[in-house]
Amino acid sequence: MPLPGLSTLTCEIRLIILSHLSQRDLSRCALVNKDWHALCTPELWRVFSISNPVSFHRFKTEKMQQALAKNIHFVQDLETHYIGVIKFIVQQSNSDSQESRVERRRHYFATVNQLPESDSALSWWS
Amino acid sequence: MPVTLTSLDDVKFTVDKDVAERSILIKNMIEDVGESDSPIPLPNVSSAVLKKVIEYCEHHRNDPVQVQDETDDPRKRSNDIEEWDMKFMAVDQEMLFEIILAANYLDIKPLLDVGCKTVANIIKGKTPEEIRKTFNIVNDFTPEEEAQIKKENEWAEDR
Repeated sequence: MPLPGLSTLTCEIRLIILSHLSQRDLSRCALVNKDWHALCTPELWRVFSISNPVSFHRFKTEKMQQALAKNIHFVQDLETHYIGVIKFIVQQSNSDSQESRVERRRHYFATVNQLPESDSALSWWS
Repeated sequence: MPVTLTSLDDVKFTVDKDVAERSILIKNMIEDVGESDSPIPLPNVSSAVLKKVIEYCEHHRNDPVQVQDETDDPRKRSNDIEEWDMKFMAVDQEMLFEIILAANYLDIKPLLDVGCKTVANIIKGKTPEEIRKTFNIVNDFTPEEEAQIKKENEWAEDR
């Protein structure tokens, strides 16, 4: 019999443990190994927050937009000022034609341009 | 009336009924079988662990029964553990997980919660590598996969 450890706990028990962790801790747990990643990802994305331009800009690349589209169905609690553009990214990523990718980029840049200019986070954007 | 419990390694423990009935499993067994002198076998729990579990149940024998609120978000609850429980949980990792498994099997919700909170407190603030080291977990990601996931989850570090 293996020594009792985290891996011998049932998923149900491990989910109770995860329920006591912040999103920051969950994001670190998701990096431990594949098993933890599978368990932590839905919990992590359950409360999705991008409420400032820095977070928002993380999703400027296609890969990140695909990640957002892939995980958006876990989200139960959304904290964001960019609900419109998030909906758009998800829609476009799901119907992933070349045309929609171009449209997505256009829409994304249009949204970014509407963000307040005073925000220093925007200064590196080109 | 006292109740006798038998552990996996055949050690007998005699405890008061109200102490034993902190375990919903045992409470239901007693209700099903009725008053009886025959010992209750607990084939999933070793004597070392059962001794600890009984110690917990004795200390908490007068606690009010926990009312479960399904809408309660544990994230909004305090992670504080009362002092006695904290000392009780200061055991090695093997025993900690044994207690959690026993609490789950015996259906002692407050003990399961305090065990899970203790593990959560160990995880808190640690890097992925520190978590692996602490729990002896092997990293099975390729460096590329790890980098990709790190990037995908970076937003969680912004808060």
